[in-house]
Amino acid sequence: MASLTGCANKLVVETTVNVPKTLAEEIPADVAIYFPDTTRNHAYVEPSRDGKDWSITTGPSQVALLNQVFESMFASTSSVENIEDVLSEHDLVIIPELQDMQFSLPSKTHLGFYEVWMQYEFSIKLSDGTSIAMFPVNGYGTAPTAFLTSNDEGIQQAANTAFRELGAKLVVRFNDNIEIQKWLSSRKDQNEDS
Amino acid sequence: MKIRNMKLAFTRSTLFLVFCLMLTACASTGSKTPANQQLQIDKSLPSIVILGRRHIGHNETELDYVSCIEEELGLRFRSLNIIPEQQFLDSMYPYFEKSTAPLTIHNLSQIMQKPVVTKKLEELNMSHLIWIAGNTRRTGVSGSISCATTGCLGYATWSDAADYEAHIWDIEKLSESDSIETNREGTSHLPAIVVPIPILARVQTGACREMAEDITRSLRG
Repeated sequence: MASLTGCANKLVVETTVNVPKTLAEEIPADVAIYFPDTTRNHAYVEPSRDGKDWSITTGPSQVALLNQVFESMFASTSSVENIEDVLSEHDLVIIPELQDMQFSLPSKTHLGFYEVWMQYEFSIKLSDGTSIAMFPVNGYGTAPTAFLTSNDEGIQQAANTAFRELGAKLVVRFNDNIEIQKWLSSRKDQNEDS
Repeated sequence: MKIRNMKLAFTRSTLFLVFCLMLTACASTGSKTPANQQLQIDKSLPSIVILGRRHIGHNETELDYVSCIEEELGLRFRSLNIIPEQQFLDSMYPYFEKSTAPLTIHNLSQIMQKPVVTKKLEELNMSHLIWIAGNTRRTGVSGSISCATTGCLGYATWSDAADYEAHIWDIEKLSESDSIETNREGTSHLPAIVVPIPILARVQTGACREMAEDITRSLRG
């Protein structure tokens, strides 16, 4: 009975990622990825007002997802711990910054599904710090309630759907971004000239 | 005495089973199907896929309607690979997701300008994409049933309406080869005299079979 009470009053989850391999045109660039602490160690904690504590750890999943997506997009990627670790050999630096993340349970919204929403801003720079582009991408996912589905499982499924959408939009937006297109074509011209 | 012991044993085992089920409900598990599974097809046969339109929000086409059409077409065509929707979405990720899927033939032709997309569609030997839009919704409920330890008494009825359309895209010609519409309505009844006896109008299943028949006719030309 104690375990059941614990289950009802706490929501302690670490999200997981199960997103397919990305079909992307490989961009011939060596890219450094810097995850700020707010992204790398992100955990959603809701202060207990009605005795129902929430702790949802998403940082490791976000890093895993974005590394997977960027690896499929570029010829070479490396993750750097500090922004100072970016080398002049790197063609680009990408800084994914999580700006907001929200969760909702069917018991609170009275809708028949779990929801997860996340808002990111991607900052694309040269290794000397010159900004090339900055664009927002969001991901939204739901998971239906079902018999014997726990809150943990519902939130994990909804988060994975949101991660999947975030990854998809990131690939498409990155390739369609005008500033990035300009940088890519100028780089191509430089390579052809040399 | 023996009967009493049996009753106790039954009660204990039932309680244990219920407790186990409740614990299972609290267990934490991740997604069960790996998204990177390799898709196996017979490469000597052309392939088609049935895709539900899900970009409209809450009026999404149901997953079970799409799988019903897949099953029905599988019974009618032995000379086609019918690729399961989720496996196609995983193989083509990220180009057929809710937020990125082509809404028109023109969008499809834009996506197909990417060599990785064309190569993958060729690998899958895709001949047609079939988009299904629409859903089944409850249009009315009336009546009431009350149950007690002695049984149930009353009468309930509800109506459902199924409205679906299919758009068949020819990948080679980059054109819409056909569009099909199915509309069905039905009323289910639940009389209860001690035991409820459901008399169900299988609206969605009927709409699925009708649409599968029309798609078959269209694909056979």
